Amino acid sequence: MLRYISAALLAAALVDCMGHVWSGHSVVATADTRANPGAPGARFVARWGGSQRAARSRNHWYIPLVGTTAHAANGVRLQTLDGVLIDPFQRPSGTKAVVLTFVSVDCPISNRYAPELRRLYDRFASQGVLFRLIYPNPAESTDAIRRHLKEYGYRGQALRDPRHELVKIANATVTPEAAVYATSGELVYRGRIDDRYVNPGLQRAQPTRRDLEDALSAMLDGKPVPRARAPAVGCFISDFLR
Amino acid sequence: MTVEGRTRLALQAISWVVLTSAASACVTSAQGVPTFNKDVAPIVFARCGACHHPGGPAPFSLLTYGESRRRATLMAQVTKSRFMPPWKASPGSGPFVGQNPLTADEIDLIQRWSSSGAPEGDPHDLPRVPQFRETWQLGTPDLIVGPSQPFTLQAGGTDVFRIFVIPVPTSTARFVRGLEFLPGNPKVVHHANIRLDRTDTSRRYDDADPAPGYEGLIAHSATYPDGHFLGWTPGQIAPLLPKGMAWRLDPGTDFVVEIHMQPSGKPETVAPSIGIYFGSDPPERTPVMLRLGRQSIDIAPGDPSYTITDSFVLPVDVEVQAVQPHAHQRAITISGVATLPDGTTRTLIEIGEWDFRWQHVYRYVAPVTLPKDTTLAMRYTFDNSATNPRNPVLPPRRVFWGQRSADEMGDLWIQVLTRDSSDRRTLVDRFRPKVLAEDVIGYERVIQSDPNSVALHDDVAQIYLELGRADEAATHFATSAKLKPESAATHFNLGTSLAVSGRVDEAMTELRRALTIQPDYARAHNNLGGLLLQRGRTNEALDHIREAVRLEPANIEAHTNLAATHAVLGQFNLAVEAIETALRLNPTESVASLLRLRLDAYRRGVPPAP
Repeated sequence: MLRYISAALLAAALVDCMGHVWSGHSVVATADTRANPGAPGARFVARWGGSQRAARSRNHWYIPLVGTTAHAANGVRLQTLDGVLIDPFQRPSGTKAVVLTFVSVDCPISNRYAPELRRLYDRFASQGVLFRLIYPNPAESTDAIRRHLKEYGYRGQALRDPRHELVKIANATVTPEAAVYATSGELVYRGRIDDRYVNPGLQRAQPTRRDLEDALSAMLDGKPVPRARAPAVGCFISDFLR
Repeated sequence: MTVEGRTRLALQAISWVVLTSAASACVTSAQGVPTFNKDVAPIVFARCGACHHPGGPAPFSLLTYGESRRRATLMAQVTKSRFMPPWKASPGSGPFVGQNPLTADEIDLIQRWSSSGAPEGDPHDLPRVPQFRETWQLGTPDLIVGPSQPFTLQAGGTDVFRIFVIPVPTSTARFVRGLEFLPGNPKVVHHANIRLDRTDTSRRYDDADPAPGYEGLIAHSATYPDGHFLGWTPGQIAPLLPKGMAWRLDPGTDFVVEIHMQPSGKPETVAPSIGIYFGSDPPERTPVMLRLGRQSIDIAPGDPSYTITDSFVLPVDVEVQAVQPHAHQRAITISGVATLPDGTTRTLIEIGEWDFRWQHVYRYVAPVTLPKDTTLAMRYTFDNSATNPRNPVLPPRRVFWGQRSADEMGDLWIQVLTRDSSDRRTLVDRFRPKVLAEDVIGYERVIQSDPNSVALHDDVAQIYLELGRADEAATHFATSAKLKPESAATHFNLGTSLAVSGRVDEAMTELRRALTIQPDYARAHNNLGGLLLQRGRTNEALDHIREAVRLEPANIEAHTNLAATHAVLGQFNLAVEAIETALRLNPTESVASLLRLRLDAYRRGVPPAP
C-alpha cells in the first residue's frame, strides 16, 4: 500500500492536475489529498518563500491560483452583497496575505468563531493581511448575510459563492474554514481557525493550537507555516448545494 | 427434553428470524436509496423534532426537507458517533423515561441517505409534520416568574454558568405539582439547575453582583424541595407530579436558578422564565434525595485515571424514582450500582463517556425496588491529563472539589420513596449526618482558597452545629466574628455555638458583645437569659428573657425560657401562662409535644431540670 508519496511523484501529479507548474518552492505546499486521493499519509511541508517574488509582480491585478487549472483560477468572480462581480483574490498593493474564511449564517460552530475572527482581523489587518468572508450557502439571502455581518460584528468584505467556484479552488469542506493565500498565489494554509472543536460534540474549554493565527504570524515573520493543513470541524459545505 | 436442548432450539429459531429480516432489509436497500420523505422524515420528526424545530432549544430546525438536506452529512456524522440524539446512559442501565436511542438500522439508513445525495423522494410519502409550539408544554402555568432584568451574555469565550435568584410572590404556602423552565434564548441556554432558598443567603449573593444574577457558589441553604429534582435540559420536561406528591412552597422562598450558557458568537440577551403549576392537595408522600459522592477530590496534574467511590447502606426499603449524576469536565466514567442483601446487583446508572453538557435527570420507567440493607454505591473516574480534550486547564494543574467549572465534583443524586413517613424519618436520620460530613469536607476545601468569606464560615459552622461538632462550629464562627467584628450576628452565632459546646462564660461574653452592638437583639437576650438561668442568676435571666419576649413576641423559645424562669422562681401560674402563649404560636408538632410535657409539669408544680 502506498503510505508516503515521494516528492517526485507528487510534483508530477501536480503538473498533471494544474496544467502549469509553479516555481519549486510551492510545489510541495500545494499537494493535497484531493489531487492525490490515494495518499492518506502524505505530509505537507510548506516552505515560505513567495513574498519576495510576489513583491516584484505587484502590478499584477489578479493573483494566479494554485491547486486548479489556470483557466478556473483566473476566471472566478464572486458577487459582493451589492451584486458586483469581483475576483476574490484581488488585493491592494502591499498586501502580504489574503485570508478567505468560509462561513454560514446559521451554522452554530461557524458563528461561535465570530469573536475570534474579529480578534484576528484586529491583529493582522493593519499588517497587510486582507480578510474576506465567503458565504457558500446559496439559500442565504443577501439580506440575511448583511444582518449576519452586523449582528456578529464581522470585519472584512463578504462575497457569495453560491456555485462553490471558490470552494472548489480552495478545497474548503466546512464552515468555518480558512484558506490563506500568499501573494504568490500559493495556498499556504487551509483548515480550522483553531482546535477548539475536536468534533461537533466535543469542544475544548480553550484551544491548544491556533492554526490560522500561527500561519499568519509565520508568514509575516517570513518563516515557514508550522502546519499547512488542519482539518476543520463544522457544517459541511457540500450539503449546501444538494 | 432438557433445558439445554430447549434453549438451543430457541436460539436457532431466533437466529433464523434475524437472518430473514436482514435479508429483507437488503432487498429494501437494493430497491432504492432511502429518501427524506419516506425514510428519514419519520425518524427526524419523532426523534429530533422536539428540539430541532423553529425556535426550539436546538440551534437549527430539521423539520423540512431543505433544512435536513443541508445538514445531511452532519446528521450522518453525529448520529453515527451517537452525539445525537443526546443520551449518555449506556443501555445496561434503566430503562429510563425518554431512553430511546436510534437503532443501528436507523443510523445506517441516515448514512445511506446522506451518502447517496440526500434525495427528497415522493411528496406523498411525507408523514404529517408535527407541530411544536414554543410555549408551555405542561399547559398555562398558575404563576410565571423570572429574573427582574434580562442578562446579556458576551459574544465569545467559554461557557458561562450564572446563578439567578428569583423571588416567588406568594403570601401563603402553596403546593407545587410541577415547574417548567423556558430558556428565553434557547440558542445559548444549555441547561438549568433549580434550587429553593428559604433564607436570604442567595439573595445577598445576587445583590453583591451589579449585573443580573451572580457567578459563583450555590449557597448551602439553596436545596432541592423536599426530595424533588428541579432542572431543565433541552428536550427534557419533568411531568407534573401525581396527586399527593406535591411539594410545599413557602412564602419568602427564592428560586435559585443556575443557567449554563454557551456564547453564540454575538452578544445575546437571556431572559428565562419559570412556570409554576399548583395543586390543592398537600403532600402525602415525600421522597428523599440521597446523595453519594466525595468532596475530598484531589487530583494530581496529569493523572489520567483518578477514582472516587462512595456507598450507603439503606436502613429501610425504598423505591428509586430517578437518579442524576453530576460532575464537571474531567469526569470520564460514571457508575451507580445497588447491591441487594442477597448479593444480586442492579445497575442504577452507567455512563461510559461523561459529558458535562448533558446533565439529565434519569427517571426510571418503573421505580427500582430495593430492600433494606441494600448497598448503594457510586464510582466515578476522572482524567486530568493533557490528552483529555475536555480538561479545562492546560497544562493540567492539581484539582480539588469545588462548584466552579474549573474545579471538579462527583455526585450521584438518588431520589427514593419510602413505605411510610416513619421509614422516611429513619432514612433521613441515618443519611443526613453522612451527607453533612461530606459537605464540611467541601467547605473546608473552599475555605482554604477563600479564607476571608464570612458566608462560607457561617455556612460550615451551621453544618458543624447540626452534626453536634460545636467546637468546630465555634472555631468558624470565631473567624466570622474576627472578619466582621462590627456585626452583632457574628458575635451572637459565636456565643450560641460556645454555649452549645459548654463554654458558658465565653458564650456570655460574646452574647453581651452582640447586645452592645445591637441592644434590641431579641435572640441574644433570650440566649443570654437562658445561660444566666443555668448559672442560677435567675433575676438577671428574667430581665433578659422578658426583654426578648417584649422585642419579639412571636419567639416561641423566649416564651419557653420565660416559663422556665418563672418555674425556677416558683411562679408556676406565670410559667403555665407562658407555655400556653408559646403553644398558641403554631409550633411544629415536635416542639408542641415538648411544650405540652412542660405544661403538664408546671401545672403539677415540678420545676424544670437544671
